[in-house]
Amino acid sequence: MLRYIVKRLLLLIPIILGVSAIIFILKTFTPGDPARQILGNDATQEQVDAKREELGLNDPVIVQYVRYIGGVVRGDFGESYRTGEPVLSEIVPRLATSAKITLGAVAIGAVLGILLGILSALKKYTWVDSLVLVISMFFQSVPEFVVALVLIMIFSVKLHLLPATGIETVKGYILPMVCVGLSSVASYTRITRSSMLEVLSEDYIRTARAKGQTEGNITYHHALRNAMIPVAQSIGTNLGNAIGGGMVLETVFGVPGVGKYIVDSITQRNYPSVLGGALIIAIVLTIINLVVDISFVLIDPRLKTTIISGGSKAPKKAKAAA
Amino acid sequence: MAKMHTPAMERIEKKNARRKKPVQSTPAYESWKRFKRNPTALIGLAVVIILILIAIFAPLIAPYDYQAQDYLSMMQKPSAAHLFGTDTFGRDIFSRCIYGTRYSLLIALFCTIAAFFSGGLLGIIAGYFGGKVDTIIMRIMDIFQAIPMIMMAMCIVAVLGNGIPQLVAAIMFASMPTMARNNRAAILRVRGADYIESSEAIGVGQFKMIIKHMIPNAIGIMIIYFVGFLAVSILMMSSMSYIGVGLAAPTPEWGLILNDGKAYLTNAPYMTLFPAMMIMITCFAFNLMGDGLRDAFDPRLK
Repeated sequence: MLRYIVKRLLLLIPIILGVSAIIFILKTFTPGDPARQILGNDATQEQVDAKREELGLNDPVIVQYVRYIGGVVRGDFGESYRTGEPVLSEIVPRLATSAKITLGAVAIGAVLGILLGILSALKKYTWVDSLVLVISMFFQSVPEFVVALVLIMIFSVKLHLLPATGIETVKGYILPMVCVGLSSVASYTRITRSSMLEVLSEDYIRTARAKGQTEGNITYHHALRNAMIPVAQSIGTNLGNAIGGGMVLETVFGVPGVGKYIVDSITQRNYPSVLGGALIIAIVLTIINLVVDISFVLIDPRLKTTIISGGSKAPKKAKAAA
Repeated sequence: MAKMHTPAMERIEKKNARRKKPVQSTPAYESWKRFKRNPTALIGLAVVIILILIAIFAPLIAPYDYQAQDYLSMMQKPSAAHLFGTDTFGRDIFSRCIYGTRYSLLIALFCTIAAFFSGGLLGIIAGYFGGKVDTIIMRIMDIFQAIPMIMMAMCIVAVLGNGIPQLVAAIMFASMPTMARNNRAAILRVRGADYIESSEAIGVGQFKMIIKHMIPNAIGIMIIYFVGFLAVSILMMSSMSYIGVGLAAPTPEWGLILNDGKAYLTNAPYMTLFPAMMIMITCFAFNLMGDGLRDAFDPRLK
């Protein structure tokens, strides 16, 4: 187990190297001079040259890359071109805001999705099942920002209940959370439904029925608990999507989170911030996925084989056939 | 036992007599039969066909040019002359949405094809060869996947600039890991089959093996992913255009039309409502169809 955790943590190294390499490559192809951008159009050529030298932009890309990685190892993610502040200290407070929204969204999406999934599994092949399918598919088909606009129209413009932008009050968190959450309902519903259907056809469910358990008891105590494992495992993947969706919605709602920070940095061509933001999100996501995987091995030791051996090795032929 | 002659039997016999050739039972035909029985999937298919027709005949359907500006009729409410109203430049929103179908469907198609030929191919190679090749490709994909898809796409657009080829490239790169993973899984499902082993034994070449034996047997699952990704790319494209890192004005892309209208949400909601409906209807149709395909090609998943 410890070996596995260490191995997974070591995987962070290629991810950090890879993610920063991707963005460094993108950066070198970008037209425009960052030094000119910092100083503005009024600066003289000498000032721009001096700034280029100061930022180390005249060095070969590979040197810049190695220097950057050296900084990252020491916790230095570079300085924002726009404010001159260290990227890390700009991102950390925003990370907390984004984390709140993402966690709230995952909770909303998971609760709604699991309830709908149970409902459609219990009423399989009836109109209830079809209705649930249509509802969850509806939210999968609407862009998050459209849901956001509609909710702003209803709750901010018409009813004046919730603020349209900003998170000065707790109420400001509600709309962004709901919007991000709704988009993931479909995925939870689908997984819950198929997992429930599978579990409900198991022998131990038939045994439970045979010994006279009530249907409610069977659903909640025997089926649901076993059916939740794949659902809970999918939370890790959904977190990534929630963070991506959050980027767009933070911009729509004017929430000062990491997503809006990165979007703003992209439009301002503020590369240290884009790079830092991307790296920090990649690291956070990788660690969350590791924690999710490890906690499932602790909860259900049967998963040890699938998670620990399945994740790192290519499946053998025999396994693929099975 | 004497032959029965009930009315039902006669009907069946008549029906059989009408069939000239014996009943086909290829996997594709079986899938189509299952698809045909699924009403929601058929609705999805019908809407997709209508959208394709709208895209093809856009110049005939749209009453105005999509970029014709008319300063005498700016920000008009929906009326007989302007079905969906007009925007701040006096452009007819109905015409822009109709032309938008053309842009959105075509771009989504390009994105999906590009993603299949890059990520999909990598996945097929990884799945077929296995071992070291598989490990290397999938580890690289893991690195790509560490960045959320839409963020990756936005970074690429920021570098390449706003435009259709740039957007296609961005969505292609961003979706590579997902595509690779899906196609690898599809290939792995047929990888261990007996007929693959037999073909290997009689010395079928690797290229022929992939093209002639594995892809045709995995194609059903690949089509499911293909249709599903059409919806995903329309959503990504419009989200990116909406926050300003996608296509550039005056392209009549739905996300951009929405972006034009967002400042007037309170007094002119029709400016955002109609393009939003177009996105919704399109993605909904693709998702319905994709779901029907899933049931049709892979009944075990149901």
